[in-house]
Amino acid sequence: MSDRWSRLLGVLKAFSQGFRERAVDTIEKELSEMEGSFALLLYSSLVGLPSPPPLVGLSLLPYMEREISIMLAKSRHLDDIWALWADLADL
Amino acid sequence: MRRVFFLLGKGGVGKTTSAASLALNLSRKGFSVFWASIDPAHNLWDVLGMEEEGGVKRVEGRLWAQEVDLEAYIRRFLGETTQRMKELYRHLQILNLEGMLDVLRYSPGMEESALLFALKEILEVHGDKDYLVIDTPPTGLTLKIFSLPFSILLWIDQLKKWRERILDRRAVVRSIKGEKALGEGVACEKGEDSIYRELERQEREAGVMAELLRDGDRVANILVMNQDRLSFMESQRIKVFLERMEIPIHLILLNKFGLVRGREGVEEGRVRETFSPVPVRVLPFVEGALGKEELLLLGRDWVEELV
Repeated sequence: MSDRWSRLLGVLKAFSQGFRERAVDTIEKELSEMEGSFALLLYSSLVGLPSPPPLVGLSLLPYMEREISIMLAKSRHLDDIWALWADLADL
Repeated sequence: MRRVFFLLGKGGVGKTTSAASLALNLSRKGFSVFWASIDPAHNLWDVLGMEEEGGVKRVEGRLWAQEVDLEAYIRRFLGETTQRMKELYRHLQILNLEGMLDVLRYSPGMEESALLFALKEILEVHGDKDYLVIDTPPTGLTLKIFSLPFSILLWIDQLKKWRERILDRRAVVRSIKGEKALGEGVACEKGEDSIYRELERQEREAGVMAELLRDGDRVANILVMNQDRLSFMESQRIKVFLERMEIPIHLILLNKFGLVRGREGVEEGRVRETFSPVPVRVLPFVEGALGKEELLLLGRDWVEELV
């Protein structure tokens, strides 16, 4: 009996872990989108969109390494947008 | 510091002459005065009939003056940014950051950003004087400088909210996947995040400027205009723009009065009616260059009201 219970517990734990990882995957993807968009928002004048006053963008520029890297990586993969969607949908 | 005077108006209406008159009169009353021109096409020294010089120069007694070198401020502002980038992006040493300066210098909005930077510095460095007299560039650029702190505050408000959402999600990922999930040095708290801290710093600085511009006790905006129709119409636009930003006008100087006659001229009564309840003072047109004594005479009646 106890063996059955421990096996059931193991299965439940595995499910729980799976759900947690799945949820975190989604949050991580959302986070990466938000970080890339944050850079795009600050330096959107580069692509012809309204941007904040240069005083703000330039003062933040020294600290924006991570966000700019994400933005550039995203723009590099823009031609493979279906792969990104497939990844998001876990296909 | 008792007060900051900004002289605003269309190009050529006599802002620098009125600023000279104000600065000289205040100085002769025994106050310490710093007079600065933030107009990129300034002629402060020309009005005084003095040799053009860089930096701060004593005009007489307790009156100091300076023509702000816009290019130098842009270079300094960009220089500080590139220096910080060099320190933080060590692996990008190969990148030609100096070359970036030439490109960034011509970015839209750089001029007003540098002038706001200059204005902040003038207020800090010369805050020990009794009065600051700031001669501004013609309308368009001045209104951009005045609206910049408010526009910065609006942007920062949104950027901070965006940043907070990023930090929240980072914290969730880290709490589930462990310390190393996001990589080293990636902040999850507002206090640790350099970007959030910089946004807060910018917000504080812009807030101080915005508050100052709206404070009628510490700042007096003097709108200089002429009788001609174009100057009158532009002054009306300045009034509307400043009202929208809740920045008060303290005094109207109807300068070069009597120069324009006939249908092109706007009657004094119409000016008073349009700008009521702001007081209007009339300064007669005087031909030729004015010496110090004439400049003093020009401000004799209205400067008294400002101190």
